[in-house]
Amino acid sequence: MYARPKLGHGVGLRPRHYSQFLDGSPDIAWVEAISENFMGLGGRPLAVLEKARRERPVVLHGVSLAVGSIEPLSEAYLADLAALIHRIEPVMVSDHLCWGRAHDRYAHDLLPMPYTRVTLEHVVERVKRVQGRLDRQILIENPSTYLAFKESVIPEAEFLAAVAERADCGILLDVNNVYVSARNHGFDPVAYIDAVPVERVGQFHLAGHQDRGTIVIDTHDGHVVDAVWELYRHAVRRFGDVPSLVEWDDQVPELEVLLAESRLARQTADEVLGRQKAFAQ
Amino acid sequence: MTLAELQETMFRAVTGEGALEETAALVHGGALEAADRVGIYAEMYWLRMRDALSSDYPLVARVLGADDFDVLVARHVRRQPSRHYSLGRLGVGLADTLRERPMEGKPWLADLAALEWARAESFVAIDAPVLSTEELRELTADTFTRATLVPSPSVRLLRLSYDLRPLWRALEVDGPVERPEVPEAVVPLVVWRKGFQVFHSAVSAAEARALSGVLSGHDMPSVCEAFVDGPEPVAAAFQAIGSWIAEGMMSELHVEE
Repeated sequence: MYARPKLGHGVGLRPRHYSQFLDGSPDIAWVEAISENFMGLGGRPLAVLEKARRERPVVLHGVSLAVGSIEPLSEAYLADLAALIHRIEPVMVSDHLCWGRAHDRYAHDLLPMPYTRVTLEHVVERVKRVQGRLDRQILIENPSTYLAFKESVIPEAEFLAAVAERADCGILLDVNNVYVSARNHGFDPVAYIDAVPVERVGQFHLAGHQDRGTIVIDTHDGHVVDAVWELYRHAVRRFGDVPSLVEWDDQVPELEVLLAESRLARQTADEVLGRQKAFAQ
Repeated sequence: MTLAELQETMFRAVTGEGALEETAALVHGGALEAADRVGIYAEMYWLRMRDALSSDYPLVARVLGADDFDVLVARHVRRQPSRHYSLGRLGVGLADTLRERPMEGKPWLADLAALEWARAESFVAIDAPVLSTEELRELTADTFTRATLVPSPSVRLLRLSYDLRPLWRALEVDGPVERPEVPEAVVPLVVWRKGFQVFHSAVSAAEARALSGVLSGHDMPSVCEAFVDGPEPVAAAFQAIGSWIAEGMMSELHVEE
């Protein structure tokens, strides 16, 4: 069970918009900060994050935990993350179902896992250790992937569900990543979402991607496309009122464009939830 | 194949140290060939390394141009692959990469890289209290001998071979890049953050020695000795220390009991 907070719709806190968060108070329910961009650091970026936190809830989203790596978990990483958590008191902490570290070196990418019984045991054990070290539940996000290993025997959604159940963590369901991976590997994105346990999902991600025909790349550089909005509607119908974030990390637009995309997500969710309420009455 | 072997194989492919085909043999193909799928990760790896370094070294990137900067990125990442969880630390030691193998016709680029990195580090250095002039004034002749200045974590002291000041001014206004002069002695530069803004400034050799003493944790008398060979050493020492404090470069004053 993951106790899902009621947050509404948020956006990523990115350097292009720091001035607006420092000098003003943009109209947004919550923000997501990339943990590694603030861990062990100070100055203006941390001041922006602390001011944003004084005004609204913040969630921390990591990219370097490498929960699937065979390399031992980095104690330095966990200590710095714990310190940031202590300072910011985020409402949620998340990272990805992936690996990206080997031989004490980082690829700085969310590299895909083979989904086997052995890797499931490995990930479950490590998520438990991370949660023990941080003394809180974390959420694990489904990655977008461009390759699938032949030795995989467990569908990703089932693997993610098993990790969440056995490690007792939450799931950050990235709806765009479901779409991207479904296109790249030829599975049904609706079936994927239907295989994710409702009580484990604590957050949704939405983002733009690039469709290159034979492959779809998770670029976070544009508007959410219609097919992903449709999948989001399905996710809201299944999971209900889940805190939802629009990610925009490349070709980052003016803040107003990002906020408008977040409002569109809120309207979309409201329409689905409103319709459900109407049917229930 | 074990998970360790699989990750070793794919890590080498992604970072360009191994062939894509070894990993491609482990993955499904489909609309896109398996090797091309692995290649996406390898391509993204280099783009990410380049973006991280160009973000911390915008002037080095501008001076070199895209092609030569890519060459530098490849050299640096091979020499010093990322061992820190933050991509923001990838730029550590780019100046050393440039000193070890200078870019043709631009031996001064290592100094420019050192300055850009010092400024980048200073910008995000951890926050610390700012020492006030009043706290310094409270020192007595007795406590002065037992006092130690604690510098702000944002302070960096550089000793450069080239006088970068004309080049820096030219780059700030997008002007033409001319080879910096080589002065007779090294050019000491101090980098610091005041509020959220980062500054750098040339300092005298004596002030550099004194500041180096502060950064090494030396006590006040030892720090002031740096000025002893100059005219009016006491006034020079107090002027330097006063300016450090006024600029927010000092964090605390410890007096040993």
